[in-house]
Amino acid sequence: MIITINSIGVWGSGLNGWDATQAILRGEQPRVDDTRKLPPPSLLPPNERRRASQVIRLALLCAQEACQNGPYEASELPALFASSNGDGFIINRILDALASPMGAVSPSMFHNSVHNAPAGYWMIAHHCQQPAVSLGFHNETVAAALLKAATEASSEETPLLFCAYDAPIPGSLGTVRRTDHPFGCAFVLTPGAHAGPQLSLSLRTDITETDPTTQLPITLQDMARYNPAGRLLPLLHAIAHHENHTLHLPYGQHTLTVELTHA
Amino acid sequence: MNDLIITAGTAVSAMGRGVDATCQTLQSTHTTLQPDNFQPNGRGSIGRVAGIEDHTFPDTLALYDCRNNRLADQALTSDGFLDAVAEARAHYGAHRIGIVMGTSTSGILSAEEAYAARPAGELTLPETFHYSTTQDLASLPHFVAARLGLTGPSLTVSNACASSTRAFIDAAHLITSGFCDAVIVGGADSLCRMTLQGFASLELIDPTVTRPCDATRDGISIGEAAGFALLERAGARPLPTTIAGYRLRLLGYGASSDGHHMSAPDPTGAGATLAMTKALKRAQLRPDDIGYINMHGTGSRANDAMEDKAMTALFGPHTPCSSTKGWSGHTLGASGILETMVCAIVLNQHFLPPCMNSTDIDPTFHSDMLLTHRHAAPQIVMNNAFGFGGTNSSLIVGTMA
Repeated sequence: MIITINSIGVWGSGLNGWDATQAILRGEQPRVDDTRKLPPPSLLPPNERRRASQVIRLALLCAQEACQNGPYEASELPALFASSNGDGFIINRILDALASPMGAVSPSMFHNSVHNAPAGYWMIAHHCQQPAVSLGFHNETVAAALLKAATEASSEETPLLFCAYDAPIPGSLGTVRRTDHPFGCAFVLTPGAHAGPQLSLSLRTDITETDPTTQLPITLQDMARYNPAGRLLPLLHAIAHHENHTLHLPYGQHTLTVELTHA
Repeated sequence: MNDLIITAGTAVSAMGRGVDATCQTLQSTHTTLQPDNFQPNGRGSIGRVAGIEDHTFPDTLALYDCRNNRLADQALTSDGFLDAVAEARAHYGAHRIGIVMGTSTSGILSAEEAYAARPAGELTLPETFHYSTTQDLASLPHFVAARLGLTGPSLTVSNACASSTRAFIDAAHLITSGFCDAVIVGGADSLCRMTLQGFASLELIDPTVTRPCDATRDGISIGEAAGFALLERAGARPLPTTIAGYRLRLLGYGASSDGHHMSAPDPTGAGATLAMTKALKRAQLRPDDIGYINMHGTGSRANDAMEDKAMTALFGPHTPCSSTKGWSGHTLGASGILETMVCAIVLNQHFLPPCMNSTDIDPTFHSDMLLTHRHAAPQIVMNNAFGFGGTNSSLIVGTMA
């Protein structure tokens, strides 16, 4: 099954957009950790802008960059949002509140806690009535989401917005779930082979796992290993170098093999 | 649509375990909700499944033991579902059967208990808490895969209260694109303080008991449920003569977004109408072909008004409809798979269940909402689910004949 990447958006700690990220992937610049807060997305109405958490901002910045550089209006695109941890900041806050004697759950925090909150905000921002699905599958989130995006794009014969994002979880939950640095990546995808980076996806059972992160610049390796969305960095590395590349993503008892070519 | 059928299905909720018990409840006028005894100072009512605390969980899968997976295990071991999957596995091979689960909160109750067990002032969680096999979204499909001996591609859909409805669409994509021959579709959402208190903070919990579509309705009652369906292509293999639970034809599906508000539905119902319209289009059916609609019908002021508007716009005033959440409570992400079983019961048993607990339909509504049981033999019915984030999904199912 083949899909074409029309455009890319990337944000994360020290990664400010796809152009700047390409320079880092090519080794022209180091990635420098950036602990500043992400800006509120200008595309949201004032109420939603105020309520958008850092994780929601991360997902929306990626999606927005991909759509700005892609051939379709954001309001035309069905969307797939994928994250292992979801909004760990909010989940931890709610869990803390529930564990304290007088703790009350804040209403806006509760509705932001749903895994599909970024999808909801994105659709509100663009007055978009297209379907959106929100997925999570622990460390194999990217494999599940790429396969799902490809099957949806081809079954429904539609271009699609794909957005994978993850961020560290603070507090107690963070002690049992290591995630290194916020990172997100969005693609506008079109089914079939067209001009641009093409991905051919297959499920295989005969692959011995190798560590694909060793070829990455050193400042990106932890992000690629310990951020579930960072599993896309080896693919982005090959795209930035305009190289063909085969990436094997562990996926249950299978491997999702992603063969990148350029046309 | 690509001739997809459900060849086996089951679910567990406060209405009962499996098809027969649920059918008996739906034919009755007995309430199955109870005052919130799940948390101290609980208010309103809940749809609590009996026997979860005592359920014998498989020893070999002890790491997955949590309320959500116990609920799932109760469903998996109902209606002969395990055997039905084993037969499909023997035919297709374990690696050709995928798993698509819908859940909104997975096993977060385990995290709530772990947080409460921390020594004062410390971050460390007890060693008995296993994040990845309980709270994480992948917990449910991993548990189901292990329990059913399946190795096909898996994923979890978390689209709030539309999760397990939307899961059918994602499962259909995996089958029509050839990556799976069959998919276990379903989901589970179990009682936890996060949703009980979260919905209370939004003032969406009815202080007495949920009364969908009633003039005096005042919110939801939260319930818990798990359910599963075996989805595959029609004609791909000879089907067993014994039906495990229920069988249905999946005739159409439609999904949309409101693009309106995070926790309030678009009052015009435009997004909901769009999801229903897409489902009809895919099924190549007209509104008149739908004999009954199992509403999302949460009992909240805003949802039921919006849904009435959306249904009326598309179907006019004559299509019978009801919400069964007066029996089950709002089972959140599991409501889609639970109400798929309700649709199967309606199709097979020739009766339409009413809006339990409700006595006077909101006079501003125009749809044919049921307050009493009605004898009818629809061949094709619709099931709606809408959720936070403005996510909408509709399914159309029909009898196998």
